[in-house]
Amino acid sequence: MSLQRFLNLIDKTPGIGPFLAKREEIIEHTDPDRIYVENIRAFFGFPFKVAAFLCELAVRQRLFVRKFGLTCPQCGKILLSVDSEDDIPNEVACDVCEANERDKYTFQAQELERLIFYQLVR
Amino acid sequence: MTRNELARLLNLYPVDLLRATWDLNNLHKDQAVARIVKDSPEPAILDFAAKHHPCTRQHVYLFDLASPVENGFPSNPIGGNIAPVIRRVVGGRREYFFCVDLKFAIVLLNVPRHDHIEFKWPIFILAEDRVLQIKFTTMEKDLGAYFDGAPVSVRVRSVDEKSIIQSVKETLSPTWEPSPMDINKGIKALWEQDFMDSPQAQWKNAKSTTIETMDEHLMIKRERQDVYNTLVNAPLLKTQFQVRDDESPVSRFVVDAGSGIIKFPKFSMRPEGTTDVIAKILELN
Repeated sequence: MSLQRFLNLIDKTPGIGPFLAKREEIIEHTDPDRIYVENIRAFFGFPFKVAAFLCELAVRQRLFVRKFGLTCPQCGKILLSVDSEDDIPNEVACDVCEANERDKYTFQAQELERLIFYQLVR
Repeated sequence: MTRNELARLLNLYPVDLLRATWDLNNLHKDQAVARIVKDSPEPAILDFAAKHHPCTRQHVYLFDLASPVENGFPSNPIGGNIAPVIRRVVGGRREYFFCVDLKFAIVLLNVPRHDHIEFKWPIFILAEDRVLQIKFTTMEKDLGAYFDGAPVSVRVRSVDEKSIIQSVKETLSPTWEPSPMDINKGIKALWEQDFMDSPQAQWKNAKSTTIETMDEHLMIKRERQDVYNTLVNAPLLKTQFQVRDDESPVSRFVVDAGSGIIKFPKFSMRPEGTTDVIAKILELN
């Protein structure tokens, strides 16, 4: 199982030290489709950069897939998630802002914030 | 009404409906509206506007009445000098269709220059038993479209939903004394039946207010049962719903349950779309 392999990866990474106490907790509380670096940082108590490094290491080991969530600059909703920057369309509409009758609800690609998250490879 | 006013009135209705009603296949909206205004008598256009009012983007305000609607109910619930253009009594149900004079004083930002534009604002009032519905068509937000796409800032709007509601309250008080209907019960029952699910909900906790916005196309009840279980026991504030039946003429609506307000931000292709949603909520409330 990829998550177990990810935990093993953490255990074996030099300088990180063995992961023990929160192993069960992360399995229980993490949504395997939406794993944010902050989830990993908070669970293990690593510095953010270390958690980010581990996530990228997991991508290279094909345990995780990196995704780009494009968020609405007004309501914060992830409008769309893509595998790479090349897949981002020129224009994206926010259905929530449209229904809330906001004057602006269609955004150019450059107006959208990118939120990186990871998905567990099953 | 002038031709311009009739054209602006028709512009508030979905183009597919205009094409289907007047058999104007393949015409662009502006062309279709111009043809209808040129060829059709005003009463036919007003009749269409009243009959298909539920298809417009609209805000619906629901009120409880202190007494049942019966003989003696005003023939003009708005009162003053705003008279209905169509009035019908069907059984115990009273329907009133208004085209209220609405004037926007604006500034054309690129000139800059003061100007104004006038509309006939469609409003439908329905009273039956102890329930009053006031339905306001929402006007185009981008008035620049009426000034060759120029950027426009609205200075003054001559009449708004609040002032119309106030007039209705004054006309109907004290006998019928309208008070905003709490529709938490009806909304939650309809949600429980899976008629719809929510991409964004706002509710009151004991000491805070929470907004839950689901990512992408995810819905609260389907994906976040824990959140759903919490909010069905709380007062719902502004909450969006997506109708689950893809064939439904209404796709999305927004509810402020404690105030009895239902907003339909998109056109409905059939009049029964919005009226069915309202009827279901009232039936379960």
